[in-house]
Amino acid sequence: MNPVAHTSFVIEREFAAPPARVFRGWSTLELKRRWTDCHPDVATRTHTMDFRVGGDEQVEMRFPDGRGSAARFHYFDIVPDRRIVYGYDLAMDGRRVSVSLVTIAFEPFDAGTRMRYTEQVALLDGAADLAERIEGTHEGLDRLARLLAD
Amino acid sequence: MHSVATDAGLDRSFQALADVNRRAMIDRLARHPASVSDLAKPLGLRLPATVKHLQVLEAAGLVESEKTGRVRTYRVAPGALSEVEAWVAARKRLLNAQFDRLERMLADESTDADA
Repeated sequence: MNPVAHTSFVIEREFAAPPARVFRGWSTLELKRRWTDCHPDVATRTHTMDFRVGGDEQVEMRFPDGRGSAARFHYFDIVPDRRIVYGYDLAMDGRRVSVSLVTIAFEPFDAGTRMRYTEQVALLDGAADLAERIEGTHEGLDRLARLLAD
Repeated sequence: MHSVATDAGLDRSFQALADVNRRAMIDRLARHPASVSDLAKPLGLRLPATVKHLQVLEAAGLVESEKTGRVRTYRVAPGALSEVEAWVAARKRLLNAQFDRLERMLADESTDADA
């Protein structure tokens, strides 16, 4: 068993739409499906969401080669148009790879929105297998990105 | 950012990767294994200099080599990239791709609203 690795990262993006509309992209399943499902090589994808404090969300994907991934989310804090805090775990082929806490903050910026996505991650044993599959190339990272996708 | 990588290991990796030729070699080896002369040619390096660079990379645990007959073949060592770094890089690429889609979706919506 490897020690659990901890890390965190931040992605900041600006959108030319008011916070309420950006927030709706996260809070409405139909809209969220549209921008999160970006896997041309996925065979089946199921995505369910109960967007409320205490609610859950699940994304399960199966690839043509038989591999599968599952992400389960749990919402801890929601401030409409301003903030979403959720935890999620990611499993590959039934093995848990990571557990994360994500905070997304939306703030008005010019005529649009500045969105700050912060993820704090505990990487578990399964993460070592994932890293072994990549060879340090962008191609490898793209492949890993597809495997990690939710 | 915190990771479990040891400071000593990181120092050696950073030192090994501080040289532009050594970075080019890693990049090349990440695609497929290669011999010393394979690596020397595109970089315009002499063989002894190339061997020296490869020794630094090997000592840092970034590449490994195997001798078959008279040819020594180098490859990127398994786990040369910190798995934490690799994971975060992959995660960021995926999220940014999704946020690009979110951005396009919001732009399309406002076009719809204007229409």
